[in-house]
Order: sequence, then C-alpha cells, then structure tokens
Amino acid sequence: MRRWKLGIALPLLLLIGSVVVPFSVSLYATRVWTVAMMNAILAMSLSMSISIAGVVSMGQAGFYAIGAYTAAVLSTRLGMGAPWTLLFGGLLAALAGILLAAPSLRLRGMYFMLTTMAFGEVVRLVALNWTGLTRGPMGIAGIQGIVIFGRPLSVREYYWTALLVAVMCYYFCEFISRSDYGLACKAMRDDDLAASVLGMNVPILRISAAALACLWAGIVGALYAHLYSFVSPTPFNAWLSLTILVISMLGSLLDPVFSRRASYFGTFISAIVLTWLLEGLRFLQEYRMAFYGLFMLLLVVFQPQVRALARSLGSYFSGKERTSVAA
Amino acid sequence: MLPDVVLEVKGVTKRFGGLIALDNVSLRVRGGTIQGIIGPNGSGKTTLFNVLSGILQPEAGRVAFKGQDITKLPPYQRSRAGIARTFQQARLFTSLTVRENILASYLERQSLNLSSRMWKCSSGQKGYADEVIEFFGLQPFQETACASLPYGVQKLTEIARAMASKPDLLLLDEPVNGMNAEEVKGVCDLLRRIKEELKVTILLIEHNMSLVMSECEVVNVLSSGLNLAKGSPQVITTNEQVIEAYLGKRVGISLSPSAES
Repeated sequence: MRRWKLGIALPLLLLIGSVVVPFSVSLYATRVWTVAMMNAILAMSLSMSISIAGVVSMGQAGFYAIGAYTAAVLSTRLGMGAPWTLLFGGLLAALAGILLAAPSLRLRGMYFMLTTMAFGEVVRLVALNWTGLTRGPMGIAGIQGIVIFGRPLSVREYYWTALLVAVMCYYFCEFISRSDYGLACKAMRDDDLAASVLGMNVPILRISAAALACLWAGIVGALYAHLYSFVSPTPFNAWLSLTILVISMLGSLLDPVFSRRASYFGTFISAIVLTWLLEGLRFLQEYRMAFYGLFMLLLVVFQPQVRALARSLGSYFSGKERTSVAA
Repeated sequence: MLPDVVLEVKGVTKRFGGLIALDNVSLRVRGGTIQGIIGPNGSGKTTLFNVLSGILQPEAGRVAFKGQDITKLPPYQRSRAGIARTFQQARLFTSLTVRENILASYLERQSLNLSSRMWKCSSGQKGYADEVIEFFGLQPFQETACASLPYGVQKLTEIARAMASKPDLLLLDEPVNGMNAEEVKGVCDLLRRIKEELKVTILLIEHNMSLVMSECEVVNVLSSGLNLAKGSPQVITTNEQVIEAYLGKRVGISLSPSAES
C-alpha cells in the first residue's frame, strides 16, 4: 500500500510544485524548466527501454531530431497543426527506431550502444546535407507555434504543455513496465535464450521496446520545433544523447529514494537537476562540458555509495526496512 | 488424449566443424510416458535437446512433434506448439521473482497479441500461477528474486516455469543434477505427478541412475553421438555395450539397479 501512496503522491506533489513554478520565476527560468521537462521525457523513455528490455540507446538526439524535422516540414510545407505534427513526429521516430533495431538485433551491450550513437550522428549529418528537405545548416525557420482556441501558446503555456506530456510519458512508462508486456521484456532481458524456449519472440520484444522509446523522443522533438519555431542540425549532437543517457543513469541511481520498485520518478528528478546544473555551468563556456564530464566520472566512481545512500533515504522516507529489489 | 507417438526424431545429425555431436540419431517418445536419455559425458545428450528445442539446427534428419514436422521452426514456435524445456544449469530470469518467472511463462501462452498485453497487468492477480507455485511447493519462495534462491529451488523453479507454459512434452536436462538423495526423491514424486495428474510426457537426461531406474519406462543410451541401445532400465543396465561405453571393456561386471554411474 505504501508503495502506491508514494507512487501517486509524489507525482502529484511535483505537479503542484511545477504549476507554481512558472508564476514565481522569470520567463528565462520558465524556459529552462521547459527544457528540463523535455529532457525528462527523452530520459524517461530511454530509461524504460533500458530497464525493461536492456536496450541502451545513445542516439536519442537522432530520434529527437527526426521528430523535430518532421514537425518542421509538416508545419512549414503543409501547414499542419500541433496535435498532428506531434503524432507524426512520434510515429516517424518510432519507425526509424524499428529500422535501426531490426538489423542490429544480434548486437548487445556496448556494440549496440555504438550503433545507436552512430545512428544519431547519421541523422544529424543527413539533416545537415539534405538541403532540399531540411535546408541544411540554414535550418527551417518560421514554424508555427501551437495554437489553441485561436491563440498561440505563451512561454508559460509551453511549459505546461511540456509538463503535461512529461507526466503522460511518466505514467506511460510506469504502466508499460508493470504490464504483461513489460514482464515478458524483463524476462527477455535477463535471459533471451530461456525466453525464446518459453515462447517469447525475442526480436519482436527488442524492436518494440526500442520503438516505444523512440516514439516519445519523436513527440518531444515535434514539441521542440513548435517551441523554438526553428530547427537546425546543431543542437541534435552526440552531446545531447550523452546528456540524456547520463540523466537516465543518475535517475536509476536516485530511484530507490522514491519507490520500492524500479520507477521513472528518479529520472524525472534527475532531468530537472542536471538540466539546471548544465544551465548553471553556462558561464564556464567551453569548459562547461569538462565539468560535466567530471560530474559523470564521479557518478560512476561513487555509484555504489550513491546507490546505498538512495536506498537508505528511501527506507527512511517510507519508514520500512527495504529488502533488496533487483531491476 | 495425446497421440501415440508425441515426438519422433529420425536420423538427426549435427556437426560442429569436424566433430560429429549427433550421428544419425533416432528417437521415439510415446505419449504419457517418462523416457530417459543416458550416456557418458560428451555423448551428445544436451546437443540433442538443443536440436529438439530449436536452438540448434541439425544438418540432416527430421523432428516431428505430434505428427507435424517441426525441424525448421524457431524455438519460440516450438514452445507454442507444446514443447517446454529446462537447462542443465538453471537459466532463470534472475532479477525477477519466482512468481514473475512462472507468470511470464504462463502469460506467453495466454495471448500472443503484443499490443493488448501492453495494457494488461496480471502480476497482482491470483490464478494459474498460484496453482503452479502450489503444485511445486514453491510458496515460501514466491516473492524471492531468483538470483538469491538456493540451487535446488532454482532447479525446481525452472521445472515449474516450463510447466507453466502448459506443454505436452517436457524436456528436462539433468533435473536432479547436484541434489541430495532426499531432494531427488522429491523430484521423482513430482515427475510422477506431472505424468499422471497433468498428463504431460517427459523426456529427461539424467546421470542419477536411481531416478532413471525408478521413473523411466524406456531408456535411450547415446554414446559418441550414436544410438547405442534402447529398452527398459533393467535391460539397459545388463546390456554389454552400455557397460562398455561407461566403464570400458571388462567381463563379469554388473551394475546393480541402485548404483549411481
């Protein structure tokens, strides 16, 4: 019972807190919060594919870009509006995810990660060079904003939209991991040979888990296009993919604080923390990434300590002794 | 009612490079029986199981299950057709609990529609999974993550997980490997109950002769990838060739039924 209380109370708390946020801070800070929400969506969907299927993607930026360019092209060339661009952005990214996952089924661990990283770069280079469609380094400008009731969204309203999508993504990920499908995926992740002799179609499970993560990356990419009304290949680089992966890593470490089971709340929180950290380090200019790298290194080195601390904090909050819960 | 012959293996050959792991092996398993496969180490028993469950493709020969040729089917389709197996070293889904292991296997049999399963959450429901847990006496362990189970319980859980997929034919690769005499007796009782109450045909590989002698109706002997002999346990243990394969050539030796090889 305790678990469910935590599972519902915490997101609600966050929701209320986040609604208050845009009224108490500057427009600049609201923008950063919006970016934090978008990073949270990218990272939560990645966390889901990692935790249920063991599919680690280092190419989230690529799928993000596909969503953004899809929305940009549909909006500027066909004059398509917001809900449709989000939908098509998501679907096209998911399709790209399937096309990437299908031929790389035999790759595991580091090799799969390298493939996805390369894919992310390929997407960026295609966007840079396919000038007919993407206008290359010039980028696509003049994308219409999201219009609701005949009025374009304000900065605050964009934040709420991103928050709403993030909360939807959170519940989607939670639900999928607890579903029967999630159970089959976890079984496949633990031992794919045993899973296959029990009747599980391992290729389909792996591909679908990858596609689900890409779906959300595409949706949030479309949101990005509308928010900035401009897309260019520059922001969709490997750094962004790495940032998302680090958010997801930190999230899985923080997770035991909030929930007894593996959940995505830790990822949500770590997206906010790391987005603000990156923003706060902006004054360092080119040294920013070096500090970020140092942070990552410390995280990896002190991973066991962080994990233990998170566990004990979690049992302190829930007032219960925690048994070791894997996955 | 199960067909007369559940599994028929005809002339299966499997090579690994120059090594002939299985050489023209044939096998016939009648429905509702417990059959054993014995043989010295490296005689191709596990390779045969891998061919039967679809993990390996044989170079020659065919495998028929319930009258249908399944030689070319991938593992998951054979499982759906009704073949379940365990491994010599238990291969459980280690981060999941015993209950989740069993549930994952059972749910696979329930519905093949992936998208509908994304919206279903059966992990809290009582039902078939609990029946299986009870049948195998795994109640005390059901919420334990499999990585931290004692070895004997892991073996048992693996059999339970295979049975949860509601198979017609159960392939057991050394089910009592590493167990003590008491545990072996427990497994023997279970096998008999699986056969009699659940009407599942069992084909097992085992080195433990007391189990083979007491439970198997027919024993097949493999040696260096060849069918060496076939018959009732009593006949097999007095077969000159079998004794020779295990112990080398010597006149006047006899294996008593309870002796372990």
